[in-house]
Amino acid sequence: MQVKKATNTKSVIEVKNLMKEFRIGSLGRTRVVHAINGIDFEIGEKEVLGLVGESGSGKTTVARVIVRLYEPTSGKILLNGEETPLRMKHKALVSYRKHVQMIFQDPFSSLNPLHSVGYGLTRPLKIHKIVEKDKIKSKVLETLEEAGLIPPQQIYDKFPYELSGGQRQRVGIARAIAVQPQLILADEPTSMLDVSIRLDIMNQMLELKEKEGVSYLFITHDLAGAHYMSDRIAIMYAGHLVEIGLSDDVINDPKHPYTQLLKRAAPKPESGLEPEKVDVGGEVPDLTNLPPGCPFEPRCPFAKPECKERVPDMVKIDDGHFTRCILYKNRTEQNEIKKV
Amino acid sequence: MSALLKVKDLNAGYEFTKFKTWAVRNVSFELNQGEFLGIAGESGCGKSTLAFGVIRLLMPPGKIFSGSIEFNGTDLMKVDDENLRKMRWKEFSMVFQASMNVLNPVLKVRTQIYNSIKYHVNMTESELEKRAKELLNLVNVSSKYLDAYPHQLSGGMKQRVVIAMALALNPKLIIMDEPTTALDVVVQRRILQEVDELRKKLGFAIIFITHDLSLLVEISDSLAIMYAGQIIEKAPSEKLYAKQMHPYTYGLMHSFPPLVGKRQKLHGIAGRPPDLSGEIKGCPFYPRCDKRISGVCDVENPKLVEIESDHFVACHLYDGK
Repeated sequence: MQVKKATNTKSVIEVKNLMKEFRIGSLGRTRVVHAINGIDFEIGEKEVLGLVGESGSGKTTVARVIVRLYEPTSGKILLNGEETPLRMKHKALVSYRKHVQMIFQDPFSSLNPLHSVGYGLTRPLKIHKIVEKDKIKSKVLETLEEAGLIPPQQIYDKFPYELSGGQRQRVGIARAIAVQPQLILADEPTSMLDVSIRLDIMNQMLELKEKEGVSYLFITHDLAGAHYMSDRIAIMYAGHLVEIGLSDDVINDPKHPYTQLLKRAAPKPESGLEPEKVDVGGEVPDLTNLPPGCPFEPRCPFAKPECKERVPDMVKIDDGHFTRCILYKNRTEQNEIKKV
Repeated sequence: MSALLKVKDLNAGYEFTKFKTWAVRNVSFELNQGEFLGIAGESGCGKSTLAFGVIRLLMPPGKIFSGSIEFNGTDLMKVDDENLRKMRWKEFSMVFQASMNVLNPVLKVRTQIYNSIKYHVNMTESELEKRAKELLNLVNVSSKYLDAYPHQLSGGMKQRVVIAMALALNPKLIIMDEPTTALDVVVQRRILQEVDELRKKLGFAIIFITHDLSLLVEISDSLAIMYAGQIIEKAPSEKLYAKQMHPYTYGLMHSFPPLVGKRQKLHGIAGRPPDLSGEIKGCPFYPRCDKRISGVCDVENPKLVEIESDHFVACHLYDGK
């Protein structure tokens, strides 16, 4: 089934049946890690898609494949409706990354310690020829200010070790927006930061979305953070998308048993102080040896024998709300019969 | 209830040749038997130093500068190293942040559990095995993993094994220093649930340290908020969740978005914590506080006082009350 978003805005990026496999181990004993197993989604203009999953679910790989730090194994990536080749030469890559940028998880290792902030931001402007040479410095200062680094003149000459974690992540954001991309892939941008400054970083990103008209893929393991940031949320499990829909729909009315489990496990003191019981055991399956059926079947409290046979198809729940679970298979059939 | 642990005016930190860092400043608190105390704060606020200091685990350059720690009637500051070693595991134990690195990679789980027991009590091989199996059952790990090496276990299982070892000799206090931050949300929730059930069954007290306030509010009996080495607010969890008196606690509690309900714009706390290597004049939160009173807050550091019953706050806003 075609997974479509509810609104009919133009999509900036569209991913179709994307797969990524890694080969590990030494010669003769290689094993294949199935990191992404055929996922589909699209992100519209000025839209934030939250990608939520546990560690090892493949969410970071999705971002790295889209920005082409990894080559996709198969599938299609469409930028502004045009298909991009799976393997890109240097020149094509540079022009692709003019549109697609990334913010990394760890602001302590993603900045070169030997280069000043100013140098780090000058590079993308030069490489992508964003402004004329004599205007580069003023553009850098402007970008720093946009990312909330005030006063920009002082920050310009600083080295990463002189900045706090929050400031470093702002430099990472400034570096990503410097080339005025259409899409920013933000890989857990706040998980390494202190709780008291996480929100400011998220607010800054939302502000830039309005101002620059950029879209985000916001990757996180924190359901509440995803709800705060995103228009839509996609839930990932063992390399599959198991649910996707409008943020409020996915959070308030989760359909897939895994999403329901995530919601139960997330801290939510606002709904009474007595925490809900989580009775689902087990852990994420081994990605080198995935079961043929639904990857969540071994842990699922509603599992049926047929779940073991093959990975279920995406089922439409509502406009723009899809889930990959057989529990809802008959429901849609009924819905469609009603429509006929 | 009698107090199990009494900490009074504890000052601890790290001593280098050229300078000293006061990571824990004049901290006093009491912990009852079987109580679940949560300590929350940002990184660098001294919460781990406090935990290490309380059971005298601080290694040089870490040092306790002054203060007293009374555990179950014993003055821990006067106990010598040999006796301390005997008390650890038996009287109090600790679960560390990165427990994956706590287990020895070249020893089987069995050997590691045996070792921690054998030092303290004499047991025969079969008694040891029985106890080890019992412990693994307690933390929901199949006893077949006794003969596994740590690399054969998942992160959650390793954490469970470490918790089992901490329980081995029925200690009265377990200190947990961010034991679940490296784990997935679902596994984290499961482990916390289990620990809490065990606490109710076995009756030990827990000091639980984390930066994740939303998690703590749900699981702990009482909560202490630390900022710049000091406890700035302490109250039972429900009280603290309903009403945060210190502006920092208020900011912290409002800096994580709620999961359900309407989405609304929230703000974090601007600025960053002070440098702990120097003297701090006045309230350490003064530069970041939006309710500061100049002439008062920047001159004198407020003391932790009981404003309402069981609700302790260190803030000049409540001076007149």
